Amino acid sequence: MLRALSVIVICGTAAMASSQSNPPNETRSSPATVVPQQQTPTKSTAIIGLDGVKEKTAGTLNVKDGKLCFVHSGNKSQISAAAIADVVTGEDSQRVIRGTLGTLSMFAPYESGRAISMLRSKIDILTIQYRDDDGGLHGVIFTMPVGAAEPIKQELITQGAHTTIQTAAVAARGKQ
Amino acid sequence: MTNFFRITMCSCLFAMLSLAGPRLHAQRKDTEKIKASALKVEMIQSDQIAVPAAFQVAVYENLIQQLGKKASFLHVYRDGDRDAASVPNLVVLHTTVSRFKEGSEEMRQVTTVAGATSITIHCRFTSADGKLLLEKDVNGKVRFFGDNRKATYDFAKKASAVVSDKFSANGQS
Repeated sequence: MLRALSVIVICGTAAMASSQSNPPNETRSSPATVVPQQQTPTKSTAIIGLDGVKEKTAGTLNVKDGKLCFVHSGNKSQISAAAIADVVTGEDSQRVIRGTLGTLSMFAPYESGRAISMLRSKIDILTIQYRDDDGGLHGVIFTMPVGAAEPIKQELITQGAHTTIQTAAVAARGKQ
Repeated sequence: MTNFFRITMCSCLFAMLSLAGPRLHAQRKDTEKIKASALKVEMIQSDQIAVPAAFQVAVYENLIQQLGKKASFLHVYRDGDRDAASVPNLVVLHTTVSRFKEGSEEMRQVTTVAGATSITIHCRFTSADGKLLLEKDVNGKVRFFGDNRKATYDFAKKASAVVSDKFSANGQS
């Protein structure tokens, strides 16, 4: 009975993982075709560093009127693009089943919790360093669906942000 | 019966000494603390060892958060803050990554024993004019639960404990 239950749990989570790790409407743009475009709000999570926002707060992120806006539960946090000293993108992965359910899954029978933790979805990381009015350096980390960080980075650079890492487009041109 | 009381008395005495010992030792050390009024945290440097940007930012932000909690007697300034220039008795914290091993959260959860992430950071506390006050290597690691960035939180907690141990506010002994 327990074996059957654990098999059902694993199969169910595998199906969820495959649907989340390959979102049907998102396409990863190739480095050569990254073009800054009008931003639509992107679902993202502010991991750390945003003033007045708790760690790991979910919200939406977009670039508008020269500002990076993070909207969460009716509140809005803004960072001026001109104040951004560095914007870098990266990649990471996270468990498909997180939070309380994810913790409880560790106690699933026949060590199936370990199998469940192998179900992971890829995410993009957007790391921003900016200076406040007094010149103090702040760092902010956002996570978002895969492929969403690079367009935001391009848009920020277009609107006056700086970066220490070559943009994907420039890097591709350099290789040719 | 007499033996029972002797054993009980000895156990109580041992427990009291083991509890009071570290406290007495800490009180004696209080007199050796470095006096400061504020602490400026510089952005972490990792010229020789490649560390992801997100890690560097996480170290910096966690450090500022933890210093605000554990070393609340000091005013904490961020890197580049112009207000810090006029503060007397300012201590500047320079951090450099000396060792970094990026593990895997997935590996940790699947095997329990493998995939640990660890970061060792060399912390240098100097006065505003560059005189070295204290230097120490502080390690942060995540072995079992949590993502890789939890190592930065571990480092920040330990580093702020060092600040709390070694520094005191102006006017206190």
